Amino acid sequence: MERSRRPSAQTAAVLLALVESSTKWRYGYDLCQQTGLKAGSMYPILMRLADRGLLATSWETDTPAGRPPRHLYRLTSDGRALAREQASTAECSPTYAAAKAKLAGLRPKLEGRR
Amino acid sequence: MSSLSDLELLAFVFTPLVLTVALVACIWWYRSRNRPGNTDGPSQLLSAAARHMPADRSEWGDAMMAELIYLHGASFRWWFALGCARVALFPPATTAWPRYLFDTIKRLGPVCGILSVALPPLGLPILYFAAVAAEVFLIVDGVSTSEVMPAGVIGAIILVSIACMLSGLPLGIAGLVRREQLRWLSLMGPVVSISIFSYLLIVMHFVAGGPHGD
Repeated sequence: MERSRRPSAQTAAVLLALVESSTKWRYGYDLCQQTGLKAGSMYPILMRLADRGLLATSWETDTPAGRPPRHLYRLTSDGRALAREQASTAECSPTYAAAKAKLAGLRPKLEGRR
Repeated sequence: MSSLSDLELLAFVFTPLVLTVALVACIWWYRSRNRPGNTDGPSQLLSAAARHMPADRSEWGDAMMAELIYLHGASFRWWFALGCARVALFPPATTAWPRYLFDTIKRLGPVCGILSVALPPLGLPILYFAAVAAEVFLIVDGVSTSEVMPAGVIGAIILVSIACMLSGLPLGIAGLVRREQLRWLSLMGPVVSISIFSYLLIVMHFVAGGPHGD
């Protein structure tokens, strides 16, 4: 049975980054740069999302000469639904606040809001 | 051993470790330098790790390799390759932990070969650090070493140290019998073990007085 649990702050950051441009295919390193995650954290998250059917993967078709095609990622409809649902229902949760702040390049100011 | 100065003692303890690491790095570099597509260290590292990915994750190995090719800057490439190499060797589990552990050991293949080369040079450092720890206890507590570290413990540490030094022999043979990948590691294990043990005996012989010690 699939376990249903709240995603980690890092997974939340990846979901938010992917849902921001949900129809666009994204590169792994591009996502690393946007979320500030290292490759060693990013790829396991992408693998788990793909395993759960939340992430669609594809290979680049239009590549520069002599370069291999890159792997591309975007959320599936289930993934988009989950990301939006999580983002809306858990807007106030520290996990999503931290993820959003990270994406915006800002430090979370949770203490200031209290 | 007491007739050795601190510097000589450090050199004596760590020389086998440094030489073994250097030798393994040289052989690995020599064997992988002519592989197609391996243009630099990060590519070599990641391609070596990606070869050990589970079959159902192999697409991800290709994905990480392709991504690396588009990156520029030595430090970016190294950090990216190191992170990806870790993921390639230990990807997220798709099965229960005991099964995952078993599959990982089986997949990474040359476990005996790697241990046969890694353990023997650790024998002397284990002994050295145990001696250093004993000295620290002596200074802190102000009691004799024998009270802090009983003879039984000292004996056990010496046995572990010697077992490490000699472990390259059975582990290397086990690696050959298992027909592990990277056969050269399994072949190298017994050689490293015998060399280090001989080195220990020769140094001890000379330190203890040697042929002209009287």
